[in-house]
Amino acid sequence: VATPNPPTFAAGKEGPRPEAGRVVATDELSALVKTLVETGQRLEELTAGEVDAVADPEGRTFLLQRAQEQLRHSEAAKRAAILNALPAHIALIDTQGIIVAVNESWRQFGRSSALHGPGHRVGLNYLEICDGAGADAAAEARRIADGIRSVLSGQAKSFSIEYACGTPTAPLWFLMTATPLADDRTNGAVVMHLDVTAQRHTEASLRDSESRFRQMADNISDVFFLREADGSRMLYVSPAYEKIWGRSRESLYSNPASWGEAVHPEDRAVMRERHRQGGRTGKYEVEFRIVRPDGSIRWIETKGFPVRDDAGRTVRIAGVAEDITERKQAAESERRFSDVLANVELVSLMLDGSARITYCNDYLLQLTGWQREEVMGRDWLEVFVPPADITGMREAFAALIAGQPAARHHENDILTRSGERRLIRWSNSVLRSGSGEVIGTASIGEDITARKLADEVLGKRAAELERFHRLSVGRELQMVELKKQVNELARQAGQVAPHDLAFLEPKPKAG
Amino acid sequence: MKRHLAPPRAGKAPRKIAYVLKLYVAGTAPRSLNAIANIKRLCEENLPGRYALDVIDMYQQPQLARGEQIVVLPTLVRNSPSPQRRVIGDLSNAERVLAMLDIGSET
Repeated sequence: VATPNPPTFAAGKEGPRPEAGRVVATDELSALVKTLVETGQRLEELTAGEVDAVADPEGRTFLLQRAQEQLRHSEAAKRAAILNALPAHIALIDTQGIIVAVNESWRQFGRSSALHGPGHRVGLNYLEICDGAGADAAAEARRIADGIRSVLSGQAKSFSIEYACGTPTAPLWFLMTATPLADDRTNGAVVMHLDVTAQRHTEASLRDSESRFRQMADNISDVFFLREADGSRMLYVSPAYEKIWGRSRESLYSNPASWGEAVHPEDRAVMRERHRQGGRTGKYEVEFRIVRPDGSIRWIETKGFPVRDDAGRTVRIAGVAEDITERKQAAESERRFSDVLANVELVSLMLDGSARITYCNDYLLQLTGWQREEVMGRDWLEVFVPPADITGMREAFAALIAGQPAARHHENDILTRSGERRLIRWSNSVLRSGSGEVIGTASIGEDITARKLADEVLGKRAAELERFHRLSVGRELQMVELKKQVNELARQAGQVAPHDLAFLEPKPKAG
Repeated sequence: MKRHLAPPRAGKAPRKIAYVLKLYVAGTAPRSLNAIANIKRLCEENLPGRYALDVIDMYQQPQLARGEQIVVLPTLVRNSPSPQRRVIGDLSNAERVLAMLDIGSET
């Protein structure tokens, strides 16, 4: 206020010519300044220090000197307050490296650091402090000093470095930046140290959790994967992929479509359909076969889960793929076994501990003429065993339940619905619960009625033959005896024996 | 120009706005800021629902002061009720302000 800007004054349009004006202006200026100061003092007196400004009838406002100073102080105080509230430790240095100003954080930071600390007050040369840093921080201090010099010389637009200080057990990490204070040419730099220990810890814990995930992914036999929802990119696939698919992970990363190309041609349609559904809901489950490069086939079960962005759109699919070939084969063999039981001409029967029917196959029903719903849950003995045999059979069942080996095999008649008897040869075993308790029996029975009948017929025939044989042999023996007697009588009469019975004599051994 | 109107109080019929006040200030100069805070407080305490207060920053709207004979800032002008009255300064002396505006006796 006290000294108007001379060039502006001289360049005023209505002002005198520069050369002449300069001489004239000096006297006029002195007079005006005197008037200004007196005017200011008089205005303060008149307003008793109660006002900030005066205004002319046009509304032009002139701030009084005291208000100007107060305003300037309050503006400076605001800027200082902002700088002081910042967590970063900030110092302003001039082109020589001398600290011109520091903020409150810089002042307060009392830890032993060679690079910034309570000792590094305004007026000290920061570059010299860095150059003279102790051995513990010498390397970093030198890099910092070099960085600041490159900023001050205008070679670098800015410089930043992360460094550790504090105790080795609880290190503090700082991010140091130097930015030039420049209009056209550098006239200093702002040096800032920001505590980034917390970010460091976060990064470290992220690294830990990633390494734990990798350890898990590397060692588990299932395949984890993460891909873009549109299938355009495979972002991650775990190492198990190579083992199950027999292909390298690199080949999948470079060609995401090879995931689909490995799928068995017959399963591609269902696979596409599930993926289409999954595209809507994000979640899908699909079983399919893959063909490995060596031509072998594996069954795969894949479960996919949506990964959504903040707007709820599915942007990625995370999934687990499991090799279920063995499970599939086991299921297949179980299915074949039950097919066999259902289709063979053998009775298959399961009873609970009280001899109630819990399972029977179609063959038993065909054999006996009952409907399944008529017999399920009913007492086997009452429905199928002839009344006269029930007592005996109940004992046999009890013996089987008691685990007596002799009860495992037996033959007995069962009744058909129409009352016919069928003879069944049984092989029995007991069923046990998971805890080893006997909970029932399982039996396989062969219908031997026809064979038994055949056996009986044969037996009768054999007996008849035997009798006939015995009869015919007896007659033959009597004949031989008679012939012997006739021969004897003839010999006694001096005649030749009429019957040749030499075949009855033992043959002389061949010499 | 910022107009400060007290919201009508619930349960009571809004009373007629009896006091129309204008405060002329010089930006964020210290006495100007104090004057704004003081007059708002005085009005809320003594004239709830019965005043309209305009704050005019002479730096931003000098034309609003033309013909109003505003010579110093801050200046508070009571336009209604008549006659017009003026108080200058930061309005920190509440008794004097209320007396000058003839407010204290009515409440």
